[in-house]
Amino acid sequence: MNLNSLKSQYLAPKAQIVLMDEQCRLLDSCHTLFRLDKQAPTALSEQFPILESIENLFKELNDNEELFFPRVETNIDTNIYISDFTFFKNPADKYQIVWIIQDLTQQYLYFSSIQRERNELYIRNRRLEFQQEINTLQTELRYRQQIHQLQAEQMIHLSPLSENCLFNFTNTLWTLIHTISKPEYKTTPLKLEVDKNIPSVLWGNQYGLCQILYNILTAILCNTKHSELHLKVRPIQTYRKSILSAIYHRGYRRSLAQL
Amino acid sequence: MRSISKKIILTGSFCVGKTSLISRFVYQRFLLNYQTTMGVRIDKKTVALGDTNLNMIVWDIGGEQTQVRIPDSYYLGSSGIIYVFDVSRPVGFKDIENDIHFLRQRLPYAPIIVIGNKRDLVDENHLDEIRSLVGIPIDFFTSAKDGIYVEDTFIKLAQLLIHEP
Ligand SMILES: Nc1nc2c(ncn2[C@@H]2O[C@H](COP(=O)(O)OP(=O)(O)O)[C@@H](O)[C@H]2O)c(=O)[nH]1
Ligand SMILES: [Mg+2]
Repeated sequence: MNLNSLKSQYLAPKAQIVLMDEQCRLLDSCHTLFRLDKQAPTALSEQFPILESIENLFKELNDNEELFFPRVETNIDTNIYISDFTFFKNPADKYQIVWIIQDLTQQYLYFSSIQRERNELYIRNRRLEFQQEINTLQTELRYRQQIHQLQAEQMIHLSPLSENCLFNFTNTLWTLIHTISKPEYKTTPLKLEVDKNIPSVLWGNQYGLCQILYNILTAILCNTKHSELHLKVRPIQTYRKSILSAIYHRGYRRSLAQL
Repeated sequence: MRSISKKIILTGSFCVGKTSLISRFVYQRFLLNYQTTMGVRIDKKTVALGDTNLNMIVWDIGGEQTQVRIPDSYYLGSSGIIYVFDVSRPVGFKDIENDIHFLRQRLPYAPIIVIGNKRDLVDENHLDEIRSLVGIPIDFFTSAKDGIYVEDTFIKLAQLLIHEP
């Protein structure tokens, strides 16, 4: 047995070769994978919708050009085939189209199971990330609700004229802390820690910031007896901003507004 | 009655319900278990519109998370596109614009219908919000499970296709 006959003996059972004209009428075929009836009155495109949809590409096909469609799933009788389709002009007759069906069902089914696992894992991970994001937001909401419930005895109301300006952030915070650490506020030790990634000079609403911090801190101090209060300032952790988080943010913003 | 054939492709990320939408439209059924589409499946349905029988040859393109890795040949000769995303999987929303842009470049003249599938899984009140978040016009919110707006999607595309030369 020579190399070529060995090759055809072992590779041939995996491929079917069909010869047809440009209107997809069957001219000849081997029957390696499935039987095609040469006497059938209708064109192959009746049986294979893929042919109907690409038929018009055959006429434009150049002599050395191949049309290649990998992983085409086809039902024939009761079997499912996943095969690679190749189409080209018959070099011996340019009005004939050669259609090679290479059966790779076994291989692709194997990859399909892997792909399914991968897809499901991907979606599960996304769900998990999502859940974490929602949890973070829910925690944040809970904190805000707690702060809100603290009875603020003293609220300062600063001038509504407050506008954005450049201000020294750390100095502003120290000034605020000195204001709060007066004896009438029970002088609970208050400590300040500012993350080094925060620039010392910021652009923003200095008065607004002071007002909010003052109200929150005095509210907390009024409800704290013998504990220390640490004020830590760090940049907001930047979560990957997904759309759901946007939705939830809005949802929470709405519920916060109702508080 | 004239009869014409048009190739349309259904595309979008995996597991958004492309195969289910086709199964609903062509065979009026819905399967709950998820079977990945490895490459492409081709189905055909004929719809009658006025004096035209339109053979819609639907290519169900499977597999990938974005459009970029889909074989070029799948797009060849496509007259129309249905792009599907999953309304219950908002993390994928950001890919939609990129995908549409990519498809536009690939097939500049093919009409694109954009649908958000699995509407049965989200609160109806969220649909408007999703519409504003996605950033490109959405034609329908569908449910392959309940068969809502599935027919409408295909018919809308069919109508666009028969008016083409
Ligand atoms: N609840 C619900 N599930 C759906 C819907 N459409 C598809 N699914 C499910 O989503 C999964 C993926 O569907 P499939 O059609 O295989 O997605 P494809 O990968 O885009 O082809 C399957 O488990 C379907 O049962 C829908 O409209 N509603
Ligand atoms: Mg599929």
